Formats: sequence, C-alpha cells, structure tokens
Amino acid sequence: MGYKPVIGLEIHVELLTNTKAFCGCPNTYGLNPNTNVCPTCLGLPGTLPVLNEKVVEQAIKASLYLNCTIDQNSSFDRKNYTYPDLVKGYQITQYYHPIACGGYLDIMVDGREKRISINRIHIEEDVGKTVYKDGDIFLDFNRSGVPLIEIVTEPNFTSSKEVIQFLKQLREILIHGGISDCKLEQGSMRVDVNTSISLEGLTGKKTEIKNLNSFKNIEMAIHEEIKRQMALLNEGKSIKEQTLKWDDKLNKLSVMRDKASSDEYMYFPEYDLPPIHIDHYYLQRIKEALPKKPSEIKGELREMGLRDEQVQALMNDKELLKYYKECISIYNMPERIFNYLKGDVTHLLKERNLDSGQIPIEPYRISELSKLVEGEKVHPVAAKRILREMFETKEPPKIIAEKLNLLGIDDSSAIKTTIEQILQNHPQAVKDYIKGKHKALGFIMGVIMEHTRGRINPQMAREITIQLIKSKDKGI
Amino acid sequence: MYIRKIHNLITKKTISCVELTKIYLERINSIDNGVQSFLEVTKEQALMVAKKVDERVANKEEIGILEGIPINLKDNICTKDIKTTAASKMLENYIPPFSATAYDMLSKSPLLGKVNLDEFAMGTSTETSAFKKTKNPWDLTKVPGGSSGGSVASIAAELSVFSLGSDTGGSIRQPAAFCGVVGLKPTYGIVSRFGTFALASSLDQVGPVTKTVEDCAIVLNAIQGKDPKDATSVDINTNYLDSIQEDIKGLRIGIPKEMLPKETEADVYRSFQNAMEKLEELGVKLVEIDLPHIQYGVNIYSILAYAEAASNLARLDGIRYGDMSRSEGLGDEVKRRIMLGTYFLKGENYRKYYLRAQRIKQLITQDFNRAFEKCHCIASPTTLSTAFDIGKKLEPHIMQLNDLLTIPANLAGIPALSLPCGFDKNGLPIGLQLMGNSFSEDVLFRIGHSFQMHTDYHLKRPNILKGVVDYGI
Repeated sequence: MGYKPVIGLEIHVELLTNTKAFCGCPNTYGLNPNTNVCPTCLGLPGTLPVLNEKVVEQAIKASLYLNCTIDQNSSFDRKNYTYPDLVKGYQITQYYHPIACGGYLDIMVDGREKRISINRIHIEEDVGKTVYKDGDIFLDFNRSGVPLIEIVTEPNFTSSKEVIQFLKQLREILIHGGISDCKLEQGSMRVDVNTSISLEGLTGKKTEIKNLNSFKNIEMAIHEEIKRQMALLNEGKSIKEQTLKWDDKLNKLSVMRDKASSDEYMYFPEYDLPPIHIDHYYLQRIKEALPKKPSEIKGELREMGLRDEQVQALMNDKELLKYYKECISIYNMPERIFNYLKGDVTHLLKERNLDSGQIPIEPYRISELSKLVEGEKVHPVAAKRILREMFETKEPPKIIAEKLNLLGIDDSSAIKTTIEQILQNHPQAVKDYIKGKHKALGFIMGVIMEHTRGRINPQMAREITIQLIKSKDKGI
Repeated sequence: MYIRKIHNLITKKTISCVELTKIYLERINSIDNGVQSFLEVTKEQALMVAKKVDERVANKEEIGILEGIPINLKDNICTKDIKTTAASKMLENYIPPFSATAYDMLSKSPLLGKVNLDEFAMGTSTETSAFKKTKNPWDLTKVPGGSSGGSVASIAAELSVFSLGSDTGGSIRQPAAFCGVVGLKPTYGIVSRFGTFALASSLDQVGPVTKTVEDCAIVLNAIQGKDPKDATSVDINTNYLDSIQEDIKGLRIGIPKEMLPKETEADVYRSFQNAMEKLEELGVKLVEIDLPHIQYGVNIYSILAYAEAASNLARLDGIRYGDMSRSEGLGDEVKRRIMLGTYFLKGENYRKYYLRAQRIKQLITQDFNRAFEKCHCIASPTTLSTAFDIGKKLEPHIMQLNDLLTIPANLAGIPALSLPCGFDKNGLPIGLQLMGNSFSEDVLFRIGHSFQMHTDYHLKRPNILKGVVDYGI
C-alpha cells in the first residue's frame, strides 16, 4: 500500500533522588496516601520551589548516555492548566530551554543497527495521582513534586518491535546508570506513543496514546492504532489529532480527549527559580563519575566467558550483577559463580520472598564455597545443601560442611573400605557386572553415591569400584 | 528615632513589654473603630511574646533592638496557626501551617494582628478587600491607598510601631505617601518572599512600613538575607545604619521630567519642589536625567503582573480552599486581572503582548542603568495626587495610574523609598519617592534620614490621635 507507520515516543522517567524536585519530602514510592507531602508540594499559597541539585545531576547523566548536547544555561517554565491533581494550577517544566537536546541511541533490530534520534530531554515535576474508586474520585498528592525527566524521541520508529527494543535498551541504561528504577508497573517509567502514517513521504496527523503500563500493552496498542489509522485512511477518512487511552482489560483504544496544543498551556518563565547554570567543572565531574554503559558492562562479562543469555540475565538484575562482580573479584570463577547465583541463590531468595539486593550472605562466602568445590573438597551436589544452610545460619561453608558431614573423603584407603563394604552387601550386582551387565555398575555407583552422600569423587569411586570387582573376579 | 526610643524605654524598664503591648491593644480597640485597619487582633500571641521579652529583661539579658516592639503584618503574609486571609472570601478561614520567613525573623516582636489589604494585593485603595474598607487616618472619608492600606493606616494611627507590607507595583509606597508614613520597596531579592502570597513573582517584594527612615533601616536590617526556602533571595547582610548619619553633601539626585507629568496635582508638585530645595540646602546636587520608556510602565505592568497573577492564583482551585467556587470566592478586581492576565498569555497574545512587554521592561531597566551613571539617586513624587474619596469608583485602568510613578522601580527591580514631604491644602499627606541602584538602600536611607533631621513632616500626627501619648518622642 505504500503506507508506513511513523512513531515517536515521549517517555517520563522518575529519577532516583533522596528528596523531591523542589521540596524536602522524601522521594519514596508506596507510602500511605497524602502522608508524604509538605506545604510546598501541596502548593499552599506563599510557598516557593527550590531546586534539588541531584535532579540536575541525574538529568545530565541521562543526557550524556543518550549523546545529547547539554544546555549549560537551561531554565524552567510554567505549564498552566487546571486539573484536580495539579496543586498549583501549573506544572514546573522546561519548555523553552530544556537541559539537553539532539542526541541518539543506536538499537539492534533484526540483526541490523538503527539510530533513534532524541529530540530533547527536560526536567519537570510530577503531579499528584487521581484514583477512581467506587464511583468517587480521590486525590493522592504523595507523587506531587517527584522529579522527572521527559525524553522525547524523533518519530524515527516504524514498528512496535523497534519501539520495544529501544525501551528495553533505554531502561537498561537508566537502571545501570543509577538514574531510575524504570518500573513501568509502578509508574516510574511512563511511555506515551505518538503514531501517524506516512504515504510517499507525506506524514499524516498524529495521535497520542497514554496509559501504557507494560511493554506488552505498548506493543498491542501500537499494533491496534496502526491498524485503526490504516483502516480510516483506506476508507478515505482523515485522522483526528486526539489523545487515546489504552484499556488494558479490554485491550482496546478509546478516545480520551482532543489533543491540546501548546498554546493552551500558556508557557511562560518560572521566575521563582533561577536558570540552571552548569559550569565546565561540574560537567566534568559528572562525566568522570558516570557508571559504565551497559554495552561496556556486557562486553566485560562476555570476555569473562559468559554466554549471551547469561550476560543478559545479569543485566536484567542490577543488584545481582553487583553481587556477582564482588564474588568474581574475590575468586575468579565466572561460570561456576554465575550458576550458583542464577540457580541456587535466586531460588533461595524466591522462597524467602527476597530480592537480589537482600542476599543474606556476604559475597566472599560464595567465593569460599566455590573454592571448596573447585578443590574437590565438596561435591557439587553437597554444595547446594551447604548454600541453603548458609542462608539460614550465615556460617562459613567449611564449618557447615564439617557439621553436616559433607566434606569430601579423599583418603583412598577409606574409600576402598567403604566400597568394599557396599560390594559385599550387593553380591548379585557384582556377579551381574562380571557377567557383562554394565547396568549393574550403574546400580552399584548409585548405591555408593547415596551412601557417601556425594562425598566421594565419582570418577575416583568408579575406578576403585571397577578395580575391586576385577580383583574379586580374579579370584581372591 | 521611634523604635530606638521605645527600645530604650524597655531596656531601662520604664515600661514593660506587656504594658506596652496592652497599650497598643487598647488603642486598636478604640481608634481602629474609625480607621478599620485590623482584620484580626492576636492578643494572646502578642502578650505571650511580650512576656518572654520581659523575662529576658528581668534576667538582665541583652535585648535586640526589635525585641518587644509591637508590630502587625499585612494579611497576605503567612503566620503559622493564625488566619491569613489575603482579604479574600476564599481564604476567610485559611490557617497556614507555616510562617513567612520575614515573620520568623521578627519572632521576638509581639504580633498585634493582621491588617487589611486590597484582595490578594490587587488594588490601589484597599477598597477591594472582601471584609472592610480601611480609612485614611488623616481624613476618614478618604482612602489610605493600596494595596497595603491596613499597614500604612495602622502606622499613621500609631496602632503599631511598624508593619510589613508587600509591593508589586507600588503597594507599599503609594499608600505610605497617602498616609504620611515611610515605606520601602527593597531591591528584588533582599527580603525573602517565602510565605508571602505571590502576586507577580518577578516583581513582588516584602518591605517595612514605619514612621521614620531610621526605623525603616532598623527593620530592613532584621528581615534581609538569603533564605534557603526562596531561590530568588540574595545573600546579603548589610548594616543599613552604618552610614545613615553621614551627611549628603555632594550626592547627586536625578530628576526625570517623565515623573513630573502635567497630571501632577499642584500641591504635590509644590511639595516636591520644596523637598528638592531642602535637599539642595543640605548639599545635594540636582541633575536632569531622562527615563524615556517609563511612559509605557503602567501598560506593561498590566500585562506582566496580571499574567503572573493569573498563574499564581490558579492554585485556588475551588477544591481545597473554602467551600466555594472561584466565582464565589474571588472578588471582581481579582477576577478582572485573572481574565486579562490569561488573555495576555494565550496563543498568539504571548508574542503580541507578553514578550513585547518583557522587552520594554528591559528597556526601562536600561534607562535606569544609564541614569544611575549620572546620579546616586532618582527623586520623584510618590504619587500624582493625594488620597481620594472612598467609593469614588474610578475605572480600573484609571486606578492603575495611581501607580504610574511607583511601577518603574518594580519593573527594574531597584529599591524605592517613600517618605512624607508635605501636606496638601486639605491636610492630606504627600510623599517623596527616592529610588536607587540595586542594593543601594543605604544611600536612600542616608538621604531620607538627613531630610527628616531637617524637616518635621514625619512628626505630624493625624487629629484622631489628639491626646494619645506618642512613644516615639
């Protein structure tokens, strides 16, 4: 048909800071309604905003990761409109002079690299929350004044696939950069999608879709909207510039309102706040302290020998990655330690309803355990038990191994004695093996391993067993 | 003179703070029936603070110069746990949970109460107050000026030793001139705006209303300074009394012809000329300067200030304050300004009006900068006329002309002081306005104080005070 989707994104990201953007209230999620407020974020008459410097630092970090040009003299403006959850009747934002503009992020889609351009990044404050319950409207102002950056992309996307890939990469950058925790379900990352269709170089009117709180919903909504617009165009109808809402229970789009133009917001400068002056030294300090980009971190992990899925598993869990790195720095066994963490530790955390930031044992304990296994002092199976016990008692792995009688037996005469005993208890199996039934050996090995509870090196045990049976056969 | 004298009475134990406070409370009880300046009298609060000061005096502790001095505040300045209404129905029962920084800095001065103003500081006569009309103590049929009408009337009637008002386009100075008291609009940023209801954030300043220039300097010393809660406040700690006694020989005072238009009343013009002659006697040199762009002052003020006010008042959304809609809670003048302010910001008007007004504002600032290369201070009458009748019901844009001479200082952010310099044929006060470069309040005080040491306009008292003891003498 020649129609091509043209998609752009406006992403609101809540920043990780100790306090809100313009007052001293803690920047914390999940508190009881209207308990995390003060006269300033309630907009009481006479109150004034004061900029939290950390907000600027976080915004600059994001701008650097996205290769933007930073405006060293940006300033704030007022976006004026009336809504119950907007306490001052205006939102403090940056309309005329955003802190950064003109950046990009390269994404990998279908094996090819595509550059998504960033139009601007600006700082603004969040508004309160409107809650609809039992036919009533409730206002919770805890979120009022929470610091945000808004990232606006150019309309470079042509598919939902590209959009999702971009968001995944962006989220990874922001999480590992310590800028935001990007939890879509909690609203610390909110994505508005602008969609239009172009035909032979001419782009049509665009619609805005809001209220998308998961990657899945974003994908479905884009798909639906492209379908809808194509259908209208095929019927010869035109697209109205509207704001649409995605209903995630019915998986449907519905019209929220006609799109407001910037004129309606009467933007003018926020005189209560002086311009943000960023000098060279401030910028330099931030650049020097900037955490490594995800691409760099992934490179390092790959060099350690981890496979792509393993690398991604660590990238998806920042706390686990941090813990992992600490373990590796003590004892460099990338593969083994990864398996412990992603396998056993993750499982144990889940059982106890903990997350990776709450691992109850120190990284060096994991390293100690790895050393024991590597030195064949403890059987890998036994190691799992020791790990579980460590979670409970926090004791050193060696102590636990001794307590539970899991330390490997490497005294060959002791092993011989033990196996001798077992062979004597299972004469039929010995006979069968001599006759040539190899399955019998497997049975005997099973008994030995169970009896010794993994404390004997299986290879060694197998050799000794065969040796003993053979010598028995030779007729002692 | 006034504050210092009372301070001495306190430290010498000639009178206790509690006695002093009671005397003022008594006066408010009787005299304010006629003047109608107080909206709320805070007797308990005042006596409590007074008592504490007396205890310190009894303990032979050193008392700061403003400790125990009874004051009042314009009712758009927040006082914690005490009603702050902005003279508006919408906030009739509003009790702020915090105090303005300027008030915090005067915490040892007993607060006698909150005084009347034009609703939300919008007006030039204190007639738009939703609660009462304050009268001019010199003639109870005349307005005290506005919007800080309650502040100036209460000081003129000696119902408090000093007050704090707010000035966006002349709201301290114009009424100060009408009521024969001293009023200062400080350089933008010297006094914290935190806790004072914002009208136009880029123009507002809180300032003292006093009987004398020296008192004004004493109060400014106490309320100046950087406030972490106000990002526009400036880190400043000048002692404005340091140079106030110095003579003013050799200082150059510029007189702009644009501030002596033909509309100036004859008596005002004459008083101003006399004042200039007096200053020349004291060694000042008068120079001619011009401020070509201030003729646009009133118009661009109307655009810029109303636009900001419309935005600042948007928070009174009819949900959280009072049990009423904005239509019910806000008065006509407030509504008018909100509508106009919104108009000037909408769509194309932003470029047509607002941005243009901003550019002219810059030109006015440049006019002043150029002028201050030639002189230390610029003088003009504070107003074109003396106090007019209550209920005159002039057109709003005519009312705005009351601020013609005061608006430019707000637009340029520079300090401006009004002090009494005469009376018209009906005995109504006339004000002299002195403007200086940013942060040159000390020069204004020096000139003003010198003037007051050689004149006695500031010592005259309205007839309603016949027989009432003057604690300033």
